[in-house]
Amino acid sequence: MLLAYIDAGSGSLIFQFVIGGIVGGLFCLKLYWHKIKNFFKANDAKKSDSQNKVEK
Amino acid sequence: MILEKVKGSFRDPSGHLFYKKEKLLRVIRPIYKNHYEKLMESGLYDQLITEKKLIPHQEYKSETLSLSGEVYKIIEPEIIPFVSYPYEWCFSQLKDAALLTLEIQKKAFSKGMVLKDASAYNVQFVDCRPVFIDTLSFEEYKPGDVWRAYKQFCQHFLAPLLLMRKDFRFSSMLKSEIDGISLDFARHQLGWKSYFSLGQLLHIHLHSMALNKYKLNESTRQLKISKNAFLGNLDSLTNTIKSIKLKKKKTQWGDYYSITNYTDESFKHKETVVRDMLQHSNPKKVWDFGANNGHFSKIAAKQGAYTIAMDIDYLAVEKNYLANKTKTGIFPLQMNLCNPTPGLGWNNSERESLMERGKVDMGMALALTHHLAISNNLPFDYIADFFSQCCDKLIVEFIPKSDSKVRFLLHSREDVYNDYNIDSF
Repeated sequence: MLLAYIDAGSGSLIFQFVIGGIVGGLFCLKLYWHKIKNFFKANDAKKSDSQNKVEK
Repeated sequence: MILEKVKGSFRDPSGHLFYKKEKLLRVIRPIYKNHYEKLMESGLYDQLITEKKLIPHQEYKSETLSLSGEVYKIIEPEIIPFVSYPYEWCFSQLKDAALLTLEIQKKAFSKGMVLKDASAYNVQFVDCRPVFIDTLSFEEYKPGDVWRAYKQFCQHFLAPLLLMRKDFRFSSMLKSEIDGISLDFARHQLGWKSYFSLGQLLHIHLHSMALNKYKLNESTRQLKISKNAFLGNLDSLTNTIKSIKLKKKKTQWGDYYSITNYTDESFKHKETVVRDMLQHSNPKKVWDFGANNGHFSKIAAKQGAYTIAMDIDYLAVEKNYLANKTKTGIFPLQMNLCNPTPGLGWNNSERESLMERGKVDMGMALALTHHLAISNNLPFDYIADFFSQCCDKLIVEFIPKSDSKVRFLLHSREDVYNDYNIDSF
């Protein structure tokens, strides 16, 4: 761990390690949630495209 | 060649700023060479310039300058039309500056770089658009490293925003707390409800406790965090900042123009007079004192003048900023003219006073002098002296004692203002 020209605060540096699991985990969940949402959105878009083609 | 050091540029050993006549130059020391090369070669600089998020610069090669110490490079950043400070910003200005800092940090991270500091003073505004101005803030990311500017970010942005949401007046605390509001102070002001917000619980309460509890030693120095944890922290900070919203509050001047004494006709006449005067003088820079919602500032801006719309009222500045975010040539600023921003920081010169940031071609003091003369007992010659230090020309309006607004100012005080008449004016 490198130090900076500003006072980073020892406690602040260690704290990021402590909360890393929580915020990192939440971030992963968020990414997967977006992936799932996008997957269904893409499927919906494909369905509506094919329906439009059939109607035409 | 006379080089004048920018007095607030001394903390970061990577380089510093100085003026050479009208030019602003930034010397880069050899210690920053690798980081600068990475910034320029990784595509990060080009990306941030294209998105207008970072101040553009050119490399300065025209002559060698007599500078002390080793020099790697000299760059010439674009000059910001008006330098402002976080203690002069409204809530949304500080919030936008915070979000810009986080956005830049995320973009930097995707290119293998991080911000080594997250000072609110690294952001300035061009019109109502926040711009990151510290080109030397970027450094190479070392895998496993934590964000060393995390505490500074929370002190400069998160804590002040949370407190300003409670009460606008907390923003003036940034004048005395030059490195931001300590988390310890903030957490005691926020109250028990803040424990139920994950962001506030983590980044203010627990963070503050950790600052008091933990100390680095040989084993904790070796701690490393994953990229996901790093990004997760940035994401959590972004969500927390975005969730801080201003409650609707009424202030003295928040709805000023809906309760004035002007008839539509007289207001239009005032607009015409102001427009004609501006056209006649064609100023490049205008300070609109007591600008309220910036109605007349916009007229000046339309004439091509870069206009600073100053007002004492936090909510008026907030409304003005939000209404003009997409416009050019206007920048709202919170300023108490009876106590304008003094020089602050080391030697009282690290952050410039309002007067040092003048003088401009033109000032506007519309429906203002009665407040200065009556509410603040300022003699006309004092008022004239102040304006003459700020601007070369002034559009000034006199409101007579017969006006109901002036009568209102006088109703709770003795009328000792015998000189308050058009002749003395």
